[in-house]
Amino acid sequence: MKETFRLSKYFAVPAGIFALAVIIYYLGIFNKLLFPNPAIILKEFVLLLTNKEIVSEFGLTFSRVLATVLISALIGIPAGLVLGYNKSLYRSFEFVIDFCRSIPPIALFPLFMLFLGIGDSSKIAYGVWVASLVILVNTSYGVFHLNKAYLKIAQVYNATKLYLFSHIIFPAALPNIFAGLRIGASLSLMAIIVTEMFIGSSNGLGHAILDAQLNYKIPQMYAIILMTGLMGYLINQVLMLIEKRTIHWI
Amino acid sequence: MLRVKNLVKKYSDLKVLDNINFRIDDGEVVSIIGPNGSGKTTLLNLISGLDKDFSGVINHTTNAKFGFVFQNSDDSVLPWKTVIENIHLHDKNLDKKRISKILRETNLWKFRNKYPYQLSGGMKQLLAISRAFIHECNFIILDEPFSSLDCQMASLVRQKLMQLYESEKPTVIIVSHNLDDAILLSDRIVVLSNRPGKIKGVVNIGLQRPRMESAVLSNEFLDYKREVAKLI
Repeated sequence: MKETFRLSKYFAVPAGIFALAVIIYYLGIFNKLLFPNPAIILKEFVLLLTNKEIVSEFGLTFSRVLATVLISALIGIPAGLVLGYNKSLYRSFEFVIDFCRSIPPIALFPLFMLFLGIGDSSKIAYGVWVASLVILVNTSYGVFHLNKAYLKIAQVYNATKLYLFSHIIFPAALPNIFAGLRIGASLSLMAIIVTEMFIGSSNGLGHAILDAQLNYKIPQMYAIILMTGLMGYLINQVLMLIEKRTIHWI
Repeated sequence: MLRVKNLVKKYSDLKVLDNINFRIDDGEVVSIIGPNGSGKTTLLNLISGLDKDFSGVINHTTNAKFGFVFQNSDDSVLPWKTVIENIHLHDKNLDKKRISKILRETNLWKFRNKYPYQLSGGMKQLLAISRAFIHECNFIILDEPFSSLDCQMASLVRQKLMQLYESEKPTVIIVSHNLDDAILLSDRIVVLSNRPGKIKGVVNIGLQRPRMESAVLSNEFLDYKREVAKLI
């Protein structure tokens, strides 16, 4: 009974939104060609889940996002730990970091294309640019705000620098690192989808959305958009699961 | 032995400690008491070498090894490490027999594979105290170690600290707001003034060791309490 109540609470809002979309459709507020019956979109979505071509596009986009998140983490976490530990070094880089974060990312993609072409490398490099800065800043803030008593313990017991970073600073900053990873993953997905929509790109869910729109397959376009949402949701859930298992002490 | 001579500590223009002079012999237990803001914790940080920005002289035995127990039990231990990992920290070569002996004395042996969040506040303080003894620290520094504990737990931690002290006799420096704790545990009490902290007076505590908690009811104890209270 309790479980049913919990599940009903979980699905109540999505069901409500779906019902609202159906009402809007039947009231004819928007052009029915541009705002198709939500039931048809849902049916299309279920059909696409078994469509080999779309599943392969899903896999392609997912692998690009995964590569982006992994590379961003490999750059952002160590750099964030070092900059967070050395506040004066962070201050030296602060202007550059904030300036780079302030440039609208989409403005830089043509530059990435210019240097790396229209293949996977430019898409992933662009995603890494967007995500690694967020991960770096979050990691640095995690180190800034860690409990200073932990550093005192390390200092008093003469811990090595390696131990300090790997056993004290890194675990203490983990809550912020995971927050950065989750935001970074969302931004990576956004960046990859956008780059897949650029001229010259021939695969991925971004390309499939644009293709469906250009061919007026509007329910399919909505269904693929839902798929990108599903991908983002799944990535976030997996990261939250890893976070919960890793940061068991909170 | 620890000798502090003409110690002055400033945070930019704010003088926190002014002309502090004292000496602590090996194996002594000294409490530092004083009002909030008198620089007690700053003094502990300077003595233990955590803060090296001061004028004056702090001399201690060449092979000085410090152990630190913080006021908040959650600060004293690393929450992502088990009890045994918190004991070892980076040192994997600690004497296993010593670890087992001290953890049994502090009733932590059966919790050695538990995490701090599975322990009470008092047990976390005992863990930090045990770590200091296991690492054979010759200076054990406790910054208001009982203030975050309820009175039963504080009494237990105090008893265990006294037991371990009696068997090992390290130098112990305690910051406390509680006169009973300070008198019961210490050989000497250093009273600091309001900011900037200066030494207002030193009271030697001649109660016989080992001391029982019941000593707080003796007339001798009450006399010491009056003497310290006059200085505050």
